[in-house]
Amino acid sequence: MLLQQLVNGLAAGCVYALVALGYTMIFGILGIVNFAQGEIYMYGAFGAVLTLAATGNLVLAIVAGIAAACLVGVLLERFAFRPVRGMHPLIPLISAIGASIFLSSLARLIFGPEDRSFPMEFHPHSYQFFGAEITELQLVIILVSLALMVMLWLFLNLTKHGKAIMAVAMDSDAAKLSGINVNAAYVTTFLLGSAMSGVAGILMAMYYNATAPNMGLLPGLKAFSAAILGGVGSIPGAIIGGLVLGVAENLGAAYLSSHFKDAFAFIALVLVLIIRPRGILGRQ
Amino acid sequence: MSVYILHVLIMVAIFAMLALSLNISVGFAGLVSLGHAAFFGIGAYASGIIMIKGLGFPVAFGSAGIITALLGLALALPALRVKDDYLAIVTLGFGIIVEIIFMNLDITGGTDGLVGIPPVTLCGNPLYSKPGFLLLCVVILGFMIVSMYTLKNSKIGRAWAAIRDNDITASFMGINIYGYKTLAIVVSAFWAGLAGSLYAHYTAYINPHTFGMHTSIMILSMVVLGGIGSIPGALLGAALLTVLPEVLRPLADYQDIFYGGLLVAMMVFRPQGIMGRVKITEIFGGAR
Amino acid sequence: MQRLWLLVMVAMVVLGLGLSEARAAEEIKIGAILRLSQGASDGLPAKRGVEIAVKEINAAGGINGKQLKVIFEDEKDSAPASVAAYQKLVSMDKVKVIIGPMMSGNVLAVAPLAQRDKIVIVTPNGTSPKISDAGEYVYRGCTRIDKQAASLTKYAKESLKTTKPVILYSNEPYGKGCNDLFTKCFAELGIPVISTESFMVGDRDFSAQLTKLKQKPFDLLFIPGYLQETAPAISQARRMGITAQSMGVFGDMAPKYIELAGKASEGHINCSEYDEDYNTPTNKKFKDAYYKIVKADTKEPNNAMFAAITYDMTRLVSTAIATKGGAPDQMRGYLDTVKDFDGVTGKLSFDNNGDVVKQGVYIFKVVKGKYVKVK
Repeated sequence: MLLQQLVNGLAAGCVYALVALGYTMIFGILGIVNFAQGEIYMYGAFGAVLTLAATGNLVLAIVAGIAAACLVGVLLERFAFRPVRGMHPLIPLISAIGASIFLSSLARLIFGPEDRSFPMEFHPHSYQFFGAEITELQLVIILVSLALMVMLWLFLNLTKHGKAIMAVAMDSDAAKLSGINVNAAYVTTFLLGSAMSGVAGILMAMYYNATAPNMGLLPGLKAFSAAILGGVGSIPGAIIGGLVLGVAENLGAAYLSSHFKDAFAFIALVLVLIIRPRGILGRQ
Repeated sequence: MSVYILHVLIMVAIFAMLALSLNISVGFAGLVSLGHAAFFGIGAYASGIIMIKGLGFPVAFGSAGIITALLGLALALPALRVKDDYLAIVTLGFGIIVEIIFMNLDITGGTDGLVGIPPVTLCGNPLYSKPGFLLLCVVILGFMIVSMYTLKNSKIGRAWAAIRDNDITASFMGINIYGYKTLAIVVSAFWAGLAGSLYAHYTAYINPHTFGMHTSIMILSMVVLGGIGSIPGALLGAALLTVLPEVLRPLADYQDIFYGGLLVAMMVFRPQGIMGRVKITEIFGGAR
Repeated sequence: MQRLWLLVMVAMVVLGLGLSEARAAEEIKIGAILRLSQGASDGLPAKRGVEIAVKEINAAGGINGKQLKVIFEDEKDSAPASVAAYQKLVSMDKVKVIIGPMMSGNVLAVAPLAQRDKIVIVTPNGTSPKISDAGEYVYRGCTRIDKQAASLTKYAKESLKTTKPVILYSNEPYGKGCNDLFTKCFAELGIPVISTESFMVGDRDFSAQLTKLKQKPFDLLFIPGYLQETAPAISQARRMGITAQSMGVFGDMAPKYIELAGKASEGHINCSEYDEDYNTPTNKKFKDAYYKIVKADTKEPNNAMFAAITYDMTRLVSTAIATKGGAPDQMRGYLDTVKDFDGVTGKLSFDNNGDVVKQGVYIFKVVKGKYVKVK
């Protein structure tokens, strides 16, 4: 059973990691916790599901989903975060929370409150190894997430725009002085973070076969814990945080108690913050 | 007077107490807490369970405050060791963990909640009348307001203000930051616990869902909308956010959209809140 | 500036609360507290059921010439919100009877107030046994969960030949109640439940719990809860290669369940309060009205059972007012003595505890993507 739970945890963890990357990038560069990250995830899922239902074209649906997520992210940046940059930390926090509530209730009004299935059949293939089973979907989730993480790392470390973002994250005043367009860096960060969350949302819409306006709430909170766990502001940290959280949750439910499955994320969070506040890979 | 209006006023009074208590840690001492509803819940459950077990209201009420304060202390000791930025997150985690504990213990009734909580008894007589209960709440609220002002203008209040503005400087001045921050959380928890006790005996039934993140965020919004640190602001914020859902009843479907939009709009257009000082919009405290 | 805000706020309060007081007097008002914002699959259909009944009654001339009006409030899945809704309906709108709340926890919160104020409340689907003891003003329109449990476990033993059941329940009052009761009923039949796991409302990932359950062989997977979770749960179970018979309670009785669970729902057994094929003219009229609404809007959830229950309850209550009078004690007089009321959920009456009595629970099985009655 251990191996199987590890596999389950890995798949769940990859999704947390994708969303956690969004949180960590935005926190790293803007210093705010984007409470509406879960809603970006949700709009990504809806974008894909609605497009697929209307056109039957999976590739188009995925693109539409990512586009929807990015649109929401950019609008958030412009209207909920940019106007309150630099103020008492509570202010962008409340703004983010308000945006989150607004976005999810808007979705409920537009899309209706019911869950929607993913308009495509998946063949229940699974592969066996060492007594554990990994389904095709789980494999897709893990591979796609890894691919995205690698691409992100390459972008941030090897391209001009990417390095600019890292510079702004480290010291925005110095970056501005070296001629970097700070606003563009902010918008790019939001785009990247939203795209990641959007993909996560689409993957989950497929995996759970359930897309609903409130689907972003719990995963959002857990991914947030993952980002903190891994060390806020650290990209590899977010990935590790996500994976550790996914695995810890599943192992905890398996060996301790499934009643508290959801609590494990937060217990882990509180413990980490008390014992090692900067997280696993965080910088001081 | 319409029973419904009395009910709404009682709710305003209770939430005013909650907003004021949160204002101590957030507004006076500058500590961000996202799990305040947990203290509300601890007080409610403690008082409810104590009265169900047969003890009188004064005992239950007082114990609710003390037990909550002690748990606040238990939270503060480890939580304050983390950097300020992370305190918000730790309190969030605390709030969620407490809610899950409420859901899984037998003594709290688990997810079914606590049924049959006895009403407030004064001198042995149960207080069923709503105007009477409202009066009780207003009296306690009055005490709270007076003690808030006293605290704010006392040495403790000034120490808190110094810590809030810049804690490094404050410690250089010889203020025991750690001690004062802990005091802020403990006092804040104490009053929230008392509010919880009143709530439990008024509604006669509580369940864990009432004390979750949604409520914590609502109380925080009351403080921020009213103006962080302002006592009349907290009262106004509580009144506004309690009455608003009632007034918006005909627009039930649009209520949440309106609430979310209101929060964002307030932050963008008037972040200092209704009664707050404009100073709050300047770049705050420690460097980022 | 600040004083202006204060004034605006006070004005809003006074206006808002005052406006609600000014309502028409020449109609009979009933209240309904339903899961409107959170209850995607059950709250909205329940509302439709009430609406259909009210429309029918008013089209036939109303109650003794007066039009029937229903005021809906949202229980918001929260006890304080339900209590606030109750207070508003009773003291501002002055209703004498309320249909709802739907969730057991909220019914238990409102019940003591209804008892004290002597207002009749009829919950369409609160299943907790505690509701039976909540008082003589509290009525219930669905079968108690322990009777559902008895029927289903008996069916499991006799027809499904279950010997090793496991339970995966939703950790909230409904699911937990089911877990406790079904375990008890199975035990009474001499069948011990092999293991149990739980999940929370809002969870979508059950792989940890299912993997754990898979460790021991079992022949029945019972998943009580709301379909938003139970459907993904069975779908994941099948994906993981679990082939055991599955069973659920009436939360699964909706086309949405089959849609979300897909092929995994095949063979699923669950119970329901309503049989669509029940052959009476009343039922046909109800079905026509309900499906007309469903077809008109693709976003409308399709769940006839919940509409059927509230439809019957609304008609019961209106008939009570029409024949005996609108005061709560007069209504009770009718409800306590009515026999074989022509409801779409069956021939109805109420027992001593205010629980509805009909010919029993219907058991359904999903065959080729449609529900088929088996008992």
